[in-house]
Amino acid sequence: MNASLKIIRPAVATSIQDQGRFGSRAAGFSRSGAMDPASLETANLLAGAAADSAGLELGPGPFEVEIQRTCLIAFGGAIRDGAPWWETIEARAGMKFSLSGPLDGNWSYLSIGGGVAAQVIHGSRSTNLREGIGNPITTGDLISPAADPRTPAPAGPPPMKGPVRIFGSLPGEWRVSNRIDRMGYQLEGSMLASGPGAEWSEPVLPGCIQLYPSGLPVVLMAEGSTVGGYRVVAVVHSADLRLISQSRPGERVDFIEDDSLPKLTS
Amino acid sequence: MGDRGLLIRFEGDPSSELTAYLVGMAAKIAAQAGVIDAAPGHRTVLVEGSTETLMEVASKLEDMGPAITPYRGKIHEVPVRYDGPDLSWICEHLELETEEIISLHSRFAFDVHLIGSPGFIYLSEVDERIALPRLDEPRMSVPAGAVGIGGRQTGIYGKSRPGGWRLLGTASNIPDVVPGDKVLFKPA
Repeated sequence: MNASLKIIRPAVATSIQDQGRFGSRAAGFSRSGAMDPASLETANLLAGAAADSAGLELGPGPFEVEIQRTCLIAFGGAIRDGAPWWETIEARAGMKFSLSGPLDGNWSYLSIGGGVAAQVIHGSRSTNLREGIGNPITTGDLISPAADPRTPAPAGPPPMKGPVRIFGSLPGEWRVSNRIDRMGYQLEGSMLASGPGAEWSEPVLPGCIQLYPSGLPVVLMAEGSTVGGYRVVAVVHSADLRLISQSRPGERVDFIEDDSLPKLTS
Repeated sequence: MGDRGLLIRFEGDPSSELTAYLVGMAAKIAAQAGVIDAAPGHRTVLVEGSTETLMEVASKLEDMGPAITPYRGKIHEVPVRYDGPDLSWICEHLELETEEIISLHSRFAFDVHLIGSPGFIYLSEVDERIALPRLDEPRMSVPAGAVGIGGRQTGIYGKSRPGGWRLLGTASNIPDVVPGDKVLFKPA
């Protein structure tokens, strides 16, 4: 299909992401996918794309895009100046959108009607550069739709702040450190006594909170490895991981312990 | 493991028999309705799905045993140059000569327990004389082909990635393996 968008200036770490790559863990593929899946989903619906379509994920810094062909688009996630946010936009050929860096939060999304096209690998269009899947988005890149647009669906933005439910325990006060990326967010604050790691590396999922021997916890994110040898002290509720992901360095994370899950140990 | 993961763990150390069983068990569970993924580990199977699906899987586990077919894999020979950046530290730490370490690491085939991300090949346990503590914090980048030891485990970094294992050598190729296969290191 003809290109809808041309990238004039990519934000840092701009990449194509969808809801993630599931079912290929045994072959060594991590989940990948959007750092804030609910925000991408909402932007997709507003733009006239299926909820699980791929969109563009924008990291820190300004972003500029030119419309090549009249289409529906929507911006969502971490809010920026320069475009209507959380709205269906009828973008006409030749229009340019010049966005600031995020005013709050870390990750923003740009969806187009029909979703963003990319090669489907192990069931997902998500880029994972560490796994050699996809390419970084650079200046001049053309973005095409994967399918015909649907009728945009009304969708309200998901909450961007709030307490984070965890299974397990992480006592103390915690802030996001400046060591954050798509693999994991290291936290800082209280120092925890660390126990020895597992004798055998064990499977880990996005949301697992690992404790390094140094006493600092790291929350595994979308591109977190599939197994780890460090001790897992808690697991973040799958719906709340995005709240950590959108927290900036220095921002406090309020954990609340969730004991609603049945205990299965036998 | 949270609201979307069920970790089935077998107690005790892994063995070739357990590995073959876990690979068969994962395949069986993956075929159940609602299961998004079921992947074998060293002595685990991690199942992903909704909380309801996971409860359903858990309730059927006890009756599953006889229906599981253990997987039998093939053997891959992998030439290794024992030239890793941690080799001299390892010799000092273990109070062993390089030749003894090489010999202990290449005398028998290891089971492939699982493939990590991206492409990290986790193998079965080494002789306890060459078990090594992990780094306190992982290196930001370990090159593809590096062969390391972390605790009692050994493995091959299939792609460049961060890593906390002690590095003792470099594999000349990355074998195309699946869990349940075997890897025999040949000193090169």
